[in-house]
Amino acid sequence: MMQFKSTVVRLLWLAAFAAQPVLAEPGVEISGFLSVVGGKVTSGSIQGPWPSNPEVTCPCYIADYANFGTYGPDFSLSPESRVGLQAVATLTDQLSATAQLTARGTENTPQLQWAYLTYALSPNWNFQAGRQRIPLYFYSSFQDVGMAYPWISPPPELYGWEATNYNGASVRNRTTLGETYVTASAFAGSERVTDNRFQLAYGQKHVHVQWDNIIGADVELTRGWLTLRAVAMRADTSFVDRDDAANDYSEDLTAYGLSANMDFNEWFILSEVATNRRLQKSGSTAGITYTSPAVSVGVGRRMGAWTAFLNVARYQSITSNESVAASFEFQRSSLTVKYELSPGSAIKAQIDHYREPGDAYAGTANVVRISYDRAF
Amino acid sequence: MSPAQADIAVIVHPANPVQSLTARQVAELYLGRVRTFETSQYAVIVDQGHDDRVRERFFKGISGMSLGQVTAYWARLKFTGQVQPPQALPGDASVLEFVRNTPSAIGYISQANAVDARVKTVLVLKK
Repeated sequence: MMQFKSTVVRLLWLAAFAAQPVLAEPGVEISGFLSVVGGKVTSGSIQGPWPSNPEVTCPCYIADYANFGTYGPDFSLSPESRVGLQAVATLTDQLSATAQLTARGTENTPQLQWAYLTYALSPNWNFQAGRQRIPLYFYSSFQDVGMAYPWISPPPELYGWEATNYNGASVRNRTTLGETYVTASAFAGSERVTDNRFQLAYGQKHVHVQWDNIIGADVELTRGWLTLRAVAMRADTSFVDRDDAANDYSEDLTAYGLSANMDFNEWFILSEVATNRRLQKSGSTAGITYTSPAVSVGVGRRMGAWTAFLNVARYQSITSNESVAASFEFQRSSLTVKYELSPGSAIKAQIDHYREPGDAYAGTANVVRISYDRAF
Repeated sequence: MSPAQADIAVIVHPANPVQSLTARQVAELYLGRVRTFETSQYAVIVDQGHDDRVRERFFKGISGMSLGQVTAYWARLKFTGQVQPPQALPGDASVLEFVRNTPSAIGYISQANAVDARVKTVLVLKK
């Protein structure tokens, strides 16, 4: 926690120098975001050390699978607090370089999230090469920017992944067809994550995860109050556990998602449905396919500086052979209240009721969280 | 009349072939949906950074969005690297100066600050 604090201080000091936007042709624009998030699990079905990872004390709740941001019975600021700094350097009229550094409460060192070059092929087409976010589901590419959505964090039912960035290339088109705005992109690359924190959910500390041959495409349409988005992606994954080779496995992964958001200014609806299929190519459950459909639906109401948002979500893991691995599911409902302190900052409070039929995993939990979000 | 009470004028350079713009067209530029004028010339778009009241009336007038919604909207585009938001200047005087000197610029000011022949008004957002 102390290391996180000093990292935050260092990044904020950098940001203070760049608080004035720079108006320059060649130039560097610095921006950033900050979320201070605290919470605790007020009650839950599992008590004491969590069977899946005894270093976690339950009642417990995994809010952020990618970074293993987990809440327990004691109030903590570590699981989801984060600060990000982004620098965009305009090199020529068509070429810019972007880098984003993020520090989190769950890690000791800031991570370089992204570092890529953008080349504008024309007003409608651009090409990006370097390290970028995988634009999987609607909120994937800005999952860390608390100011941009009405929950404390996007639903983990859809947004819990072992890999979120990739090294590769993407191409994006933005056009207008009458009153409909269309943007579409295609991307390809690979990713390596050493000591992958997602695997801490299984008590595994030293798993090297590799995603190769990542290929995907997405398209998004906005017309008036309606935004629709569809995405498809595939990858070859491999998991290598330095501590126990018996845990190693590899997969053929495919994922699809569809989202429909409706904004009526006072009222709005956010909905997303997705599924991923992981065919086990090697490992202890080779030959099995895990299919994981997930859905999240929420309705929100804006009243001046206040926004209330009610959300229900469900995740299922369905196996092709119950005698080798069991299927399970979990559901969650939440209520969030957000208050805008200024156009660039807000505070939120959220309660979650998380339920697992059969206590298959982390057990039922009731969670209370508050956050302060800032984008600058 | 104070800036908070006056109509807002959206201005371009006098040499810009564009004669007028609708609120929708201005919104498309200021929300990063379109990068050029209809003449296919890249637009250099400037926002206002200091007076939230003027900025709020501007965005409400062109898009119906509150500043909170605008921040959330731009946070998404900015932090996903898709588009960078328009650069912000600290008030009417600097916007006027910039638009006078930049042939492809577009900006907005409270009309109280006198539009003269060195800029061209393409849209007025009435109070």
